Amino acid sequence: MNLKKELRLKHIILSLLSSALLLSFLGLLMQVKTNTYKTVGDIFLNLNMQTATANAVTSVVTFFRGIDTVGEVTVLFLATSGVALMLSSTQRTSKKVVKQESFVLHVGSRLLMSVIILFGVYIVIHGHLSPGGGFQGGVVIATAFLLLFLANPNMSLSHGILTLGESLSGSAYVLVALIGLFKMNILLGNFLPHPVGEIGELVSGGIIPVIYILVGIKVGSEMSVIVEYFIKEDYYKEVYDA
Amino acid sequence: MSLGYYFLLPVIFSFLTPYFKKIGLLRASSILLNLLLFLQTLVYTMMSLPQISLFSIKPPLGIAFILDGYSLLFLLIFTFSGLMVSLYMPWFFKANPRRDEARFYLFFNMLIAGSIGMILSCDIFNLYIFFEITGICSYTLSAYNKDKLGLESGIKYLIIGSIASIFIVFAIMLIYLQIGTVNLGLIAQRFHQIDPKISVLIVLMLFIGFGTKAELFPMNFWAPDIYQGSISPVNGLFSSVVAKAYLFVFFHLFYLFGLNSKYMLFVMVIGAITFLVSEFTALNQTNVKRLFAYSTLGQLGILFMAFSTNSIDTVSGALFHLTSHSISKLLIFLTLGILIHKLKSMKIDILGGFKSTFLTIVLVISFLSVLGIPPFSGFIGKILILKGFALSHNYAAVAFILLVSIVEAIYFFRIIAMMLDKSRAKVIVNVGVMNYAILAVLAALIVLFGIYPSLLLHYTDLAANALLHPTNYLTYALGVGL
Repeated sequence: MNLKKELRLKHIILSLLSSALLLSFLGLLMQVKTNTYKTVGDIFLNLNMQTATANAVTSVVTFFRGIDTVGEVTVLFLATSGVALMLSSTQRTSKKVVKQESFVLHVGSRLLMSVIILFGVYIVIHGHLSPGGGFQGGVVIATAFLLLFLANPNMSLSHGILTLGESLSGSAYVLVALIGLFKMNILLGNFLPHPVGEIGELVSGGIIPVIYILVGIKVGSEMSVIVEYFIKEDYYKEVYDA
Repeated sequence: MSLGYYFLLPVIFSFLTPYFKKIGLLRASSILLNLLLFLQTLVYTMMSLPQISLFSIKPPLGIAFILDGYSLLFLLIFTFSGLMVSLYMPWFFKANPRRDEARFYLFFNMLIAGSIGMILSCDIFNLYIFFEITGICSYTLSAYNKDKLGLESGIKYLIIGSIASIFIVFAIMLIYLQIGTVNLGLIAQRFHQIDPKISVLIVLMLFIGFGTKAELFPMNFWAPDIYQGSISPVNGLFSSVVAKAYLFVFFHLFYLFGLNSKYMLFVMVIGAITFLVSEFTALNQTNVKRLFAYSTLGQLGILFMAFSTNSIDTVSGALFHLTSHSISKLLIFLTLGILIHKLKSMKIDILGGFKSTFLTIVLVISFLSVLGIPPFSGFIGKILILKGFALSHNYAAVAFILLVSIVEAIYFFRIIAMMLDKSRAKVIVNVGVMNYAILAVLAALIVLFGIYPSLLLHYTDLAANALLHPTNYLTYALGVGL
């Protein structure tokens, strides 16, 4: 690559201009006075006892701003489908590289995988008690599959099960929202009993742990699908080029 | 009956798309879904406004969907366009078979759901989520033709859209840092208390973010490429639903935050430049899709000029023009889908190379309506806008719109002359029964609103009142008396 051609005068001017803008932006931010209002965050902290969950962040994410989470799950789902739509067209050669994985890698990755999945499930289920939750736990579960792919590129996931997990958990989430509408006339209303006395126990908080488990299944299966698509894409392209 | 259905039903539909094994079932249920949502909107037109649907807890802490007069008009346009496009799609996929048709319905329904979410949500962060949903759907749909043009438009839209959303996130962050809330009602109450320096920054960022998406002049260079690369029904949706949703949000925030007195002239000038530049660029386009993309940009320019005036008459006229423009552009792009399929070209010559009396008539109707010629609905919209400008003694704007419209007239009459030219070689085009019905309904609406404008004027007056005097909206957004 020719460096001289890449570094033109206009690029230098442009970068100088944007750094000047960034500096003035930061200078403006430095002068910002702290606000005089109580932020929504403080009010939510005070309201947290109502939801009977030990983790205040979880009650904000899944309950107070629950529709945002439905939206975020949808964004992730749309992104996965977009990746699938774009990558499914690549020409796939039937020729497969038969690469024998080493024994140590085989055993090691499988041993580690079960531990990682267990850890992910723990994070999902304890989302309303300790830091973490559906999104974080779901990603941890997906890393277990990433490990398997790195150890053995010939492996493939069962798409039926992944699609089932993805579709059913997402639809169940929306159904939970709609049941709230029918029972309490509020979408996503907490229609399950959530006595404050049970705070800190595994079964507490009404619909909040249910939602987080559904989110965990959805995120886990979607991230695994994305990982598989990208890894297989790279793999097939290498084969195709060679 | 709940406003939440507008978002939750399409979501559940798109989650379940992998299980529609038969493509016919998927097509039928997509039509059914859009029909249900349209019928629900019709029921809402008969109810007292505003209507509210709560999520989890009451606003201002929680999030709610609020339907007032302003959003009702847009809801009608969006659900109607959704229904028309979903009725059109079975023909389109029969003509252009695709293996991944199921994924189209997924993104199409979520595109409409995201746009509706943007106009209903009363929480600025929630609005941003819907902004992202609409964004991702439009990036994917613009790349749905996986050829060179399609992929170019997808990547371009992805990059531009992501930059726009970064600006909006920053603006929301600054708002939250300043006044500690993301509820639109509370922001509207407290916006004037923000330090003027920061408030200029916030307004600038919101302007860049939503202006880019709403295709305003310095940031709209990407739009014609997107239109060129994507399939025709998606063009129709971009023009009649997505661009209009961003325009809705732009002016909703503009009036709620009380920016109208300070920034009115600024938005009006930007709108005027958009109109001028787009119409002149449209003059020498050779690709039909680029031509009508530039025409859409020009009409958006007029709308931005008229919406920023802070007078009920002008805004009501602008809403009328917006509705009629949505219908006309949907009709034009759906017809282009038929012509491009039959004549296998996107050159402007295809408009002169087909033989079908029906298509000629509906196209001429929609062209004349966009131009603003009686007795079509575009005329009423444009004359109301001009009347509003004249009543507020802004004669410069009247002269400007009329003069630039001449440029618009040049290319539209050139096309009409080409279509009526008998000496050209013609290909006979058969329109399917369903397409006959869809295009006839759209053309009939254009004529109907042109002859009986009071049908639509009722809703546009309601919408203009709700936009300029949002007191009712604010009481609901603040959760007073719930």
